Amino acid sequence: MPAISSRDSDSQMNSSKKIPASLPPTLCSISQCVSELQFQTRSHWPQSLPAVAVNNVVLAGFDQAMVFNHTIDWKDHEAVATLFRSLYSDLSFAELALLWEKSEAFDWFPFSAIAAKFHFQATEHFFNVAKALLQTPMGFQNWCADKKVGPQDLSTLLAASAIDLKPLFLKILNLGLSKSQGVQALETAIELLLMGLSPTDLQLEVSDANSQAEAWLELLKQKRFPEAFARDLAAHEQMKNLPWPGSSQARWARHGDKSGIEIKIFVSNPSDLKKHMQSLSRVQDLMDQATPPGTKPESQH
Amino acid sequence: MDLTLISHFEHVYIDEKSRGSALALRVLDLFPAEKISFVSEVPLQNLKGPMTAEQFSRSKKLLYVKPFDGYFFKRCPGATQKKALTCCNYYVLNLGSQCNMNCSYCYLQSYLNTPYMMMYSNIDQALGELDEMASIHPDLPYRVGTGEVIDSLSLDEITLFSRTLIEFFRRFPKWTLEFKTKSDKVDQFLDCDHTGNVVVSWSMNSPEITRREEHGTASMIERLAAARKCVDRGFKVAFHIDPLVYYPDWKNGYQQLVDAITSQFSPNEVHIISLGALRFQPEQRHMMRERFGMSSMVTSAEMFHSDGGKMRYDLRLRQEMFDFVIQAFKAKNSAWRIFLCMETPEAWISAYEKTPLQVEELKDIFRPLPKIKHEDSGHPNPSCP
Repeated sequence: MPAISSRDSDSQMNSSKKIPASLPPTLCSISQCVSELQFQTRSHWPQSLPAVAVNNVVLAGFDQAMVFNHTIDWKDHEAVATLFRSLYSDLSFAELALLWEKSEAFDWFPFSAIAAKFHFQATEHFFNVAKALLQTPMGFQNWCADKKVGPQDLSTLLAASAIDLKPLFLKILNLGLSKSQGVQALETAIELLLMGLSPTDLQLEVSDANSQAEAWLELLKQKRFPEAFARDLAAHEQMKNLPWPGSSQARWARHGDKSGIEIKIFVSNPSDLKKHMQSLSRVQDLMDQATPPGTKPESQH
Repeated sequence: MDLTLISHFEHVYIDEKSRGSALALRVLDLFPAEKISFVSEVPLQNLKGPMTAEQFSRSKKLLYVKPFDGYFFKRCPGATQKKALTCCNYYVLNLGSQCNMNCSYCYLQSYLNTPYMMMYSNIDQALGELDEMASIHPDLPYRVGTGEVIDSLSLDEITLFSRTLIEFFRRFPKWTLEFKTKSDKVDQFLDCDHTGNVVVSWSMNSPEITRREEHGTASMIERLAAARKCVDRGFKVAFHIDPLVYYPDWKNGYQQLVDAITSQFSPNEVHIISLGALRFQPEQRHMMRERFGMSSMVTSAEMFHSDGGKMRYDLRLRQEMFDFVIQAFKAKNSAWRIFLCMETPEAWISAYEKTPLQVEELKDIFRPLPKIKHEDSGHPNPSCP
């Protein structure tokens, strides 16, 4: 358990207490304070505002010349956390991971209370994923910060400490993947690498244009679900040769653990509907002949 | 007494409130003193949030003996998902939680959040709840299982709960007591008198899945040998072939299992056979991946989101696996009684072309029974998932 968790243990006791009034901040030179907490954030501190410190430790505005230094009892975790929260409109998991790394040098720093202010629970899992994320290239950490990727989304990293993921991170960045695409690609690709596929198998070393993201994601899916993919492909081939009514559109689709035929039919008068129904009935007869009992595809509308 | 059970645990905590209980006295008798601490507060309370893979693995090696504070007796979780699942009338009596064995697919990985295994010392309260229910419905055919969140028998040499329960169920011959295990620990209760209403059941799998995915469990041969001992003492036995796991040689593997069962038992010696296919909560995949890697046939399986929220195999593959095993049994003898566990109506209809209430030999099991008292009152049950 990181020291932060234990040192934070009495913050819960403090949280129920009324925040004691602290002394007004004093303006002083930043050279009179320590800036070891400096961590990278997406947003920048306004140029015109002095930095903010608590008990001579700078919390925000690390590049400024002057600092408003607050004096707050170290043990008052809630008050420190509230002050910290007021300085940052939003912090992602990746930014909090950087903060946590820096804050390890400060035994008093109420990291858990601060994480809670940004809606994160500082659990053992949180710290484990933070450690794993901090081992990744800065570009990927920035992507995680920009996309607000959470610790649960990055859990896959915990199983992958022994493999080189740099080409994968680079691929995710180069393709400009969205959060959901990137998280899915990260998990699928790591699983495939752990299953023994090579970076070449996953085309990690191929540089693509952004427009090729969908194709690469599809490739990962095909590699991770080869049997289901083969079954769906065979069903699709079988289906497309059936005599579907002229104006209908039929395609093989997967909805979770089920796959089946999606049929779209446009009718403008009742007689068209009757014709379509008769045609579909013929299709059904052919499907019944082609598939053994118990393996009929479910039709989905 | 299997001494590996004693060496398996690194430490045993006994709650002061359990100090004089039969279970605590037995633990004191069996475990070396240096492994035991008496505690007046819940141990290891610093756990925040869900357990990590490492914490979960360690929780299997710490035992906490304590009284249980809520209702022991509740419905099987499958019965609470009526929209998504077709489930039998099964009640569970949890006399502890966690498991000393280590199956890769175990659902406890997404269910438990205590950093130790628990064994409850107040079995008398559990029997009191059963007594209360019996006073209302003594003649309804309730089935009560003890193997939902803990293996019924793997630690029974320590607890001897089986002996107490078998004795209790002698008073209610229309009720059925079911033990469910992956161990071969049966010798400790074989001498108990019973009224034929005790089913000792085994979770079974193909030899390869047992070897590769069910770590620390008895082998297929050992489980079947234990089942034979039970049959010879007049106990009913049942086999839960669950979870069916897909792998390249799965048909051969499950055929071996069917051959082993059918060559050693006749249909009238086996109360029921249930089938279930691999399934787990989506969030469980991370812990499984961390704990068992991707060479496991469970973590590397092709799983999809299903209607009930769990990850499952493609429906057609499930249907194929159920059909294969059902046909393998029926090819030996049509009298084998087989049903699907925790499965959707679609899978039922594919396997049987009807729902369970329409299957003559199964409808008694699936016919809805009155709810037990605390379900009606909406009393909170702290262990309900």
